[in-house]
Amino acid sequence: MSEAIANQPLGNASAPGTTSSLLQVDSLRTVFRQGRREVKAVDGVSFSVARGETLAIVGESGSGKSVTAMSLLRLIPSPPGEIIDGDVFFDGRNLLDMTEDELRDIRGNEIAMIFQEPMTSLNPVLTVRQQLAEPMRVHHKVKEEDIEARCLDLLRQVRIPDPETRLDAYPHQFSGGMRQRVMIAMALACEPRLLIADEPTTALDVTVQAQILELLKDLTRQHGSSMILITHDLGVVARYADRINVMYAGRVVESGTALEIFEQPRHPYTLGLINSMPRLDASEKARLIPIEGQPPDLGNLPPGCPFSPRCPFAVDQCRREDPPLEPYQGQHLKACWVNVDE
Amino acid sequence: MSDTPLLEVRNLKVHFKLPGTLLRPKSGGSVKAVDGVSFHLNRGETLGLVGESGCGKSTTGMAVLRMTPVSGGEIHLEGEDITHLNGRALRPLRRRMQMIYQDPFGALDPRMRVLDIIGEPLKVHKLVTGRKAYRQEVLRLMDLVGLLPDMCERYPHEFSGGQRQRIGIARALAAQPDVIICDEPVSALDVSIQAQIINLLKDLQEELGLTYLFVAHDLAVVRHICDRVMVMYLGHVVEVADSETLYTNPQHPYTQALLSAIPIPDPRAESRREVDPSIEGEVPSPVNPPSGCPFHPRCKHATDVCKQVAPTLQDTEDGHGVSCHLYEPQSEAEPSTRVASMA
Amino acid sequence: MTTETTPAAVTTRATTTPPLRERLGDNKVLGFIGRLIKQRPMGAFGAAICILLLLTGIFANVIAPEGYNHINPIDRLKPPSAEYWLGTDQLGRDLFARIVHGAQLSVIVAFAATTLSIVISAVIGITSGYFGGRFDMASQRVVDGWMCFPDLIILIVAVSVLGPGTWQVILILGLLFGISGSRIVRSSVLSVKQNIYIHAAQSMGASTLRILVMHILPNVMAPIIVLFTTRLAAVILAESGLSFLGLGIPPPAPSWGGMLSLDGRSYMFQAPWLAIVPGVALTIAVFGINMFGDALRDILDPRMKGAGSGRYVAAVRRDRPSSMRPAGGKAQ
Repeated sequence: MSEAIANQPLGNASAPGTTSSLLQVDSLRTVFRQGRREVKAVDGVSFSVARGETLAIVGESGSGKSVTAMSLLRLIPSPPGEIIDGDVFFDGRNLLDMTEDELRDIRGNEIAMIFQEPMTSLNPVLTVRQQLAEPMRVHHKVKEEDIEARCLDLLRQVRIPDPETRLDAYPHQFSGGMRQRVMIAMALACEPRLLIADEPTTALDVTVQAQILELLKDLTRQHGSSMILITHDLGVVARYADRINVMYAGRVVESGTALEIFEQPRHPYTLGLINSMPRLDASEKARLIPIEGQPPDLGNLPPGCPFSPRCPFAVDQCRREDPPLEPYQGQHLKACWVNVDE
Repeated sequence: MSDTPLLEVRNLKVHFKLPGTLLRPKSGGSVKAVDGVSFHLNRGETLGLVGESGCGKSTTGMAVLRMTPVSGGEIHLEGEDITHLNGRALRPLRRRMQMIYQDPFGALDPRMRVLDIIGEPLKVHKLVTGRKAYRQEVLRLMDLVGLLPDMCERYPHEFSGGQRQRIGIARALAAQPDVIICDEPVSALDVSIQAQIINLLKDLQEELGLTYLFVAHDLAVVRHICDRVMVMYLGHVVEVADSETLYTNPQHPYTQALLSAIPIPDPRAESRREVDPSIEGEVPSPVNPPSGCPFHPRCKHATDVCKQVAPTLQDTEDGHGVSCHLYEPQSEAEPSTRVASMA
Repeated sequence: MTTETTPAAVTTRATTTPPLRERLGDNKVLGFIGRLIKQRPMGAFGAAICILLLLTGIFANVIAPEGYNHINPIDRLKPPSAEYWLGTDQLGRDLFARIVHGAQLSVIVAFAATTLSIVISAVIGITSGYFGGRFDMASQRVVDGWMCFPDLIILIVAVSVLGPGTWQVILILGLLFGISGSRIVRSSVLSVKQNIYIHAAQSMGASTLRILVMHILPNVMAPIIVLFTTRLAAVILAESGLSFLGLGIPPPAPSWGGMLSLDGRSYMFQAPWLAIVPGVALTIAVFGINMFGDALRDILDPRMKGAGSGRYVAAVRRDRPSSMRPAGGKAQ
């Protein structure tokens, strides 16, 4: 972990087209419409992911973190959803301009996703072998005669014991953690360059969560793939992320390395999140400092900064003008008018 | 413990029968969801019941509430045996124990106004007379949990998760219960809201002298609210201690593994910590539990004894109990200190 | 716990409540009509037909004061004209008056039989679904047995025992539709029963009756209302069918089905309006009720519940993390 932090790729977050960044997202906007109501689920999000880097997107429910991930691969159900603006450059190609066929070539092949629900993400009537082989067949990555060997290899990589017999089992014969391992094996089948993990361990027990996250860390490192880790759990982020985007009400409010975010949070929301997080290393029955108020109603955001109604530091400007995401120090970005000093 | 504890549970067993085949209805066997759990809860105290899914912590809570059939053991509330109360005799008990639920979206009847939801226990147990007194009491409860009076005519779907949880808490308080069973009360909430609710529960406890049985899977949350913590695994208590001891000096290998698996939101501390690689695999199915110590298949210290003999909860003077063959109480390993309360 | 409360809270209460409640009430009804017209224009059209049918039924004696059996032999089998809007039948009775009074008859039979059937469905469905176990087993086997017989056979047997007549038709149709409808109520009770708020009510010591009336019934009202509207159309059709076969309401009562059968068939070529007019009336009525019922079902569908501000956010919140399924919960 410390090594990963030390090897921070620098100087790519705001320079589009830099060769070192694998994914470059520019002012992405996704809305959901219902009647006259328009909900800005993602509202002008920009970020980049370097090769081999793990970027965490952290936020609470309704912050737009999952919608961001789905928008990258244009997996937003439409209607009611629609990506109305922005660019997503993957290795120089704009995913949002591609035809459906071109995009299909990328999904599951160069960019793979892992979802939250290991119970419903696998098809219950197909064996693990059939499901593992599918991405390889679709993308013609592996010769037909090599598929079986590859499947076994994948199951070994995700440390499923006794892969030969497990290959012909059905999903219901696996426990939750094992299913998530199968999902990871499927995602890795075509050796993707970018892995998007959307709350991969939320449905699992803590001891299993640790196993799965360690596995993801080892495998991405081994293959040199990048990862976008979407989570609400700050603890997970601290352990596994190189860089962090903190999202609130559909926008990135702070972005920086893990150390910057945790040790010098510069946005009041980040600060509030860290203070309100129950900690194992807290003193006994220590009192938490919550963020007051209720989460924002995305269909009816306040003028100015969306966090201003809950923000203890808010000044008049915050209630009038929406702060842009600007560099605070190097690659540490924040969207806040106020200088929060600890 | 010289005076009687508010709640005492001795050797509680909850076994669920599994459906058999048509011809052999008894062939299904049973799941030992809770298998010999003993604990006590003092007035004004918070006891945490912690464990992973399937460990029996929620079932224990339900059994104490008498909402699930008890297969064995005894439950005493203020010295009175409530294990076998039935029908009408249960009514007064229902007032004395209330529950706060995990899912703030499902726990409130969507067709009722907040006024009627919070006041339902008042009506059911006829605790107030007259509309005016009823309304006043509900408004007092709402104020207590931080809800505004003009919210009382609204319906649950108009509220956010945190506010709904406040409504649920107000409802639990309405009957002035002796014990409140909190079943994962904050695990469905966002972090920022979680902290509000944890603080609210603590404030209410201080103000009203409440007693909580706090069922949770998140040891970090438990750390912030519980006086004592009981760790469960596959229907058994593996370790019980006061909060400070459990977090700083965990003795059971499972407790240790559980603690090491939880990440700390601090990258510097995290880079120093090592994830305990010893805990492999997952919780076995309670239908077919392992022999001997239930944790032995995942335990790196397991010996032959562990595979054959189930350990009992060793108790020391300070109330630190560990159910492990390898555990030697620091003071003295006298066989007689084996828990008396195990009955 | 004292009933003492902060005086400030009480005063704000008293001043703010009544207008708030009124506003809410208004919004609900108006909002519902608005939503119906905007989202389901066909449903609104159907609702208009239903209202028309209802008004015709209620004011039949005002609209056609001469009654349905005013015989005027001189004007036999007159085609539609300014004097007789819809023509006359073989006895010279004004067809318009007969259709209007037929609407009254249909409305009476439909509402009475449907109400009876809904009460039966609700009682069987709610008790069977909520109590479960052996009671459920036993009552469902009885329902199964009943449903094994074709409807028509039951009807014919019942009419031959009870004889034809309005109240007999109401009773038979109510029972017939009530028993089969109990299935629908029962299945929604089974899903409502899973909700934690039911568990909450049980654990706070609420009596069974209270749980059934205060929690289960209001939450299965949506399917019950939908059931009501769909059954309404079915009952009108069934009554017409019975009368057509001569098993329903005997002449001279102006049942649409009976008119179609007796007069309509006999004079089909001489006076086609005698068959066309009741047929069209029947079609319009059933079509209108069905359209309205479908729209109602779409709007009251449980998945759409809690609409307005909450709904959309809920859709976005599906990404929500721990929400319903954190590591510790469910399995136990």
